[in-house]
Amino acid sequence: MYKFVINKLKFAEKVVLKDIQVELDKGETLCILGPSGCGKTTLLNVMAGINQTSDFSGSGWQGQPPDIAYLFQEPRLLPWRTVLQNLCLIEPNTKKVFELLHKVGLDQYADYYPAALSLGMERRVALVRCLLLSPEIVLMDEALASLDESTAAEMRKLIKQLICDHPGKSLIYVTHDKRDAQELADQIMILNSH
Amino acid sequence: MIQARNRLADQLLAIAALMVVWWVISFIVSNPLLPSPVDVLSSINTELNENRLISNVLATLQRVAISFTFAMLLGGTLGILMGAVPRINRFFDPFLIILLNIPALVIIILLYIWFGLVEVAAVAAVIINKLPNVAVTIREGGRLFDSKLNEMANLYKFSFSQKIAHLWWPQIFPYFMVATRGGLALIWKIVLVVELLGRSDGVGFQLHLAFQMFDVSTILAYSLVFISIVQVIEWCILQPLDHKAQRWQRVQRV
Repeated sequence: MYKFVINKLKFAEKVVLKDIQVELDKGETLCILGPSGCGKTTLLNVMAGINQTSDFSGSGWQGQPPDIAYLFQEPRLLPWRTVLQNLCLIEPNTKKVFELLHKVGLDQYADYYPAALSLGMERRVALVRCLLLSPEIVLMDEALASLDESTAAEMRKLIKQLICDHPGKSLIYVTHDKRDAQELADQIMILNSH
Repeated sequence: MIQARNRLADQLLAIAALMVVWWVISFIVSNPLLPSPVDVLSSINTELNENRLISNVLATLQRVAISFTFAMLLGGTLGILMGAVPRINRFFDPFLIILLNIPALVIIILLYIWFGLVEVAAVAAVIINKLPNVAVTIREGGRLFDSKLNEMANLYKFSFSQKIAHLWWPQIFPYFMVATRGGLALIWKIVLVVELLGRSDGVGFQLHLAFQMFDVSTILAYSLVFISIVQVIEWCILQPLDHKAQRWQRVQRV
């Protein structure tokens, strides 16, 4: 069981998050649902330990913080490195990299630069990068945002399949789309704006 | 490849046009103070035959190389630190402004007076003149590091060497190239002044001798040779390097 607690999180003197308690079991998928601007991404950033500018009180992760990989809303691939080079920075074993690239249907694009890929393809590469880290928890921030209907459906299917393929990994998935939550989640947490 | 060939052809055409204009004007003026391209080529030949050209050009090139290396290393390091750490920027900024505004000639004269007409003073004068330009250019690159990519690199546990090679260097590279091009152009001009004022060899020293004799042909001969060398460095080293490093920006979306 993973548990993360925030009593209060202030950003520029404004309370952004208050009395948040996230609990999930190994292999479970938690969807955090809420309108834009309610602090969903901030919550993920704090969980990942990359929100340094906010004033945060609470116990954070209870016990040893889990290994975390983060699928950011923007894919954040290094634009000057090819897909393969981006992934080999995380996992030097190219065979393992190609296996996962094959699973997401991008093994033909290993030598492409990110700028040559569509947003959906970049997200899939970023997803592979998450899995290469072998994390205990994967954080996903609006992984289907800005994708057209068919690409979003394909990506949703892919995420579901990867959850099945990696049963021990937990997933915290942030979205404002109820359909994503219904299809992917074992439990749903709703964040409201103040 | 075809684009590179076209670019080279255009540049060669521009140089040929300049030569023709020069030759026509020198023909009309017909005065030794404006020698023709043929006269200048003849002077190059003379200097070559009398073993002055290569040794003096090599002496100047050596000073340019040493000054350039130190100015880029010191200025680049300072620039990155100033770009990344606001406090270091606040501390060194006044020094940079002072150095940027001191005339190159003043630094050269002061170092010659303080340390004598020695090689170290000559090279140090060039480095001090160039260093602030490099630092200011690289600082801008350091300020524009992508914080989101930094977050990603921290989260994905990039090692320090991975960050240098794959995260920071590619971001600083365009600024490094600007500093390199500007550096080469400025440094060799300052080196000539340094040689003219206080050295007994080098292109600057030869220009000084030719100036005393009003030998415009030799002045242009040395200038032409040195400009050609810098141009060859640009074509053979800097442009291919730049082209290779920027190829990710030229890709087309699938």
